Amino acid sequence: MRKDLKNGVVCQVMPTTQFKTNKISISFITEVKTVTEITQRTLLAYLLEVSSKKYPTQQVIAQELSQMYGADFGTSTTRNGNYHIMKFNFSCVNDKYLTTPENLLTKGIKFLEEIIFRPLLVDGIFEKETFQRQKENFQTYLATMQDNKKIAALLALQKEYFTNPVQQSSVLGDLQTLKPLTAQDIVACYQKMITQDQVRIVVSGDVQEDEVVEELATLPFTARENTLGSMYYQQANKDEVVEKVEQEKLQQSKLNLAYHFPIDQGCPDFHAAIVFNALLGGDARSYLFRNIREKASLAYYISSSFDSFGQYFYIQTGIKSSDKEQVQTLIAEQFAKIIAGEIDEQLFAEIKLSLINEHLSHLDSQNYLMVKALLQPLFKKTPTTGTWMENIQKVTIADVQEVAKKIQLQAIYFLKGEEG
Amino acid sequence: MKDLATTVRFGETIYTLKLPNGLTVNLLARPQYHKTYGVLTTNYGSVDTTFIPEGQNEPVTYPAGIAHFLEHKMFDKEDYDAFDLFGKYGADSNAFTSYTRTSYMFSTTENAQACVTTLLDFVQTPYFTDEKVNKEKGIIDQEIKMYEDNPNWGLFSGIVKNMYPQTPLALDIAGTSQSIQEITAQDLNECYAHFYRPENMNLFLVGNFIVDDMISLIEENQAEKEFPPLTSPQYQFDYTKTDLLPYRMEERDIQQPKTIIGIKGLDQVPAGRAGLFYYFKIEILMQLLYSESTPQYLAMYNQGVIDDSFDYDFLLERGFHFATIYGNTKDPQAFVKQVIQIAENAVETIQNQTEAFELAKKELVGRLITSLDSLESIANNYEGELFAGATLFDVIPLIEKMELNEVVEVAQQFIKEEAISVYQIFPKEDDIQ
Repeated sequence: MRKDLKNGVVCQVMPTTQFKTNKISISFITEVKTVTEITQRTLLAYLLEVSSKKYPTQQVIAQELSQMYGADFGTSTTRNGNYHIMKFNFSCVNDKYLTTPENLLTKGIKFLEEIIFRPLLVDGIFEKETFQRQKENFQTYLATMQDNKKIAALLALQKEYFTNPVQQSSVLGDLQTLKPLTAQDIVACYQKMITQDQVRIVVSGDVQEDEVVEELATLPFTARENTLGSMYYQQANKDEVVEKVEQEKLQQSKLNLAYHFPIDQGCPDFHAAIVFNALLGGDARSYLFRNIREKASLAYYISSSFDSFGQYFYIQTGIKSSDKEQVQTLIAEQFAKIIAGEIDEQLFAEIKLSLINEHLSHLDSQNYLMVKALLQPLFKKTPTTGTWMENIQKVTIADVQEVAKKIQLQAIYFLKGEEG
Repeated sequence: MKDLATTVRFGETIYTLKLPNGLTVNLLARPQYHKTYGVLTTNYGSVDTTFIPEGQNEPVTYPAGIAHFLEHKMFDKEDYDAFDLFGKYGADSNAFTSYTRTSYMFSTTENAQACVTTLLDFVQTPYFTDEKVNKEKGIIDQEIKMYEDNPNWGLFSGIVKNMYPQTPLALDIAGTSQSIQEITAQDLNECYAHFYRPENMNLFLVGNFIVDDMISLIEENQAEKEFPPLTSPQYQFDYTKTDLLPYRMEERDIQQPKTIIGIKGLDQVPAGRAGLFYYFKIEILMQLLYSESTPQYLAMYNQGVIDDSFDYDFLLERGFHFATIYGNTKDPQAFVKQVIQIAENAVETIQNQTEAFELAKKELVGRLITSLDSLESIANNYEGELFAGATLFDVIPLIEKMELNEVVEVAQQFIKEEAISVYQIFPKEDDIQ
């Protein structure tokens, strides 16, 4: 059941008896225009996760959650194309499985109300010490993210590929824009979020729909206009390939490649693009995995991924630095093979089967179902005939050849390890 | 369905049976799920490097990383790859090796029966050649190097080496770039023959299937195969014997110092299900000492000694158990001092905390019930013989009846001053930004 609680505040309750857990997620959605805004929203998420007027420290919050049988609560921020989404996630055991009924979901809604609507403000700004500590922790986290070389290399690739600074940035923001932020800035960011962001609430579990909607309706949200533009981020294809090499003392070098792939979920060849990705490097039986790892023993991991909200397609691998040329040649060969239609028919059928298997498996994940319920209504999808699975089944080798031609190499990032 | 031991919890039944050839099978049907998840586990891991091979008289020590290497090569058969075979059914497959276990798994939404047959057949049909073994070395070498570049892995691996020097636990699970070069097909065959036998393995299936049909299929599959009668595998190490190294450190290109404290279990873990109860008593103990709910945590957090990266773990496997407490810190000295102090004052800290203890129990029960939503978590958490076949379903009543004085008792046995070790990683001076 999908219901507008207020203008711009929509809830969707999905009753199911499949799971022993009840989950609520409240999302605040906006289009961010600057990196500063991303950084502010992440810092706000940090603050609201550990403090509120009623629960001023993370100790009190943790105790409250233990009291609710180890209920789980956290904030998170994600970016999907042009949208930035800040989420408050809560999950708890269904009362049915406890020895005494506790009404945990109702308690959870009340808990989220405290966290979201009554932050820990002193004289109108975030409490000083909490603010400083969370700012410092966030700063450390951004710095230590660089210690994970796979992540560091992916962020570096993103920077080379995207032309828009917001898309170039990590989903959390950056150190440069964090340093000058004040508690006052974050109050302004909070005010904007709470009054202007689009709000989407998703609930999943063995629950009574109307009861839950009634409880959600008591949350003090105000009406807001929907001013969101398109979710899809687009950028023009560049004629030149940018290549960046950096050197560090590492055992393994990281080679990442970025491609422009102008396909979104509304495109008629969207499903062909999904099959193309699985066939090239999205599946462990893909051409990249088979030929670069299994046949040539050049890598332990190699994969391709496709972000349909950002026209962004990328390949990641970890190799010996002296193998770089050979790996790049092999990658180019796999593209060429697919474009030429040199595709094993049986493998093609199996890759589609495996995509369908993955799709059905997702139906066993409450989190996946909730994300889908949140996102699908957001990107105003062009109606297609047939289900997702039928559309995957219909994809032919010729379709994949055609869609593969639309891909253009744009950027190469190589993190060169010092050894051989 | 006679001869099946059943466990009824939450309206669900786990069927457990032991086949004539010794293979243990657990089945849990989940008709509302789309997926079926299956795991075949051998009681053999990276620590099991020394034993007397069949037909020989002297113990042989095999190169570090051999169990993991064997796991990689298990998929690669004479004229097919098991991974592709699962692929034909649209299924996904994978495997992992830990210190004391090797597990092979598949996940599928169709053809569950064919997948079970494939799983049993490929793990029970060894095929190793030197050519295939040599080809794998480049891949595993890259896997090892990927881990070596990860400072969090370096931190964990560092503390384990501190606690268990000169034992196979001090060797990384995947071995080293050098040790894997020595591995031959003959080595893999000898290790396989010693450990991969039905009585030393278990199959766990959970998901959308009909239990009776699945049991018949497994019984028939196993009845068709012959396994040589062999002596029991040797698991021979006493991990408490060697002295621990109290402190070591290293420097790396990182942004902030990292510290890990290890508490090595010198006490005897009770056998069978009592061992599982012991495990959860330590879980509760760790929660009462170091979780976000405690005043100790808040004090360290507010002093800036710890941040959100702070965490703790407790690992109990065949032959050893230890706790780790770790995180990034800008004040490594204070981190060590305070974390150790909390450990050493554990008994005084927790003995009157009835309320906090009840809360910790509640939390654990809730989390375990939630984890039953994950088919993977149900099957992967099954520890077979280690806890006498106990499953997650058996754990909840154990925790519900736990009393605070039992946790105090366990704290007295487990936390010993001489069992504490520290490992730290510091940024290289010229790297600090």
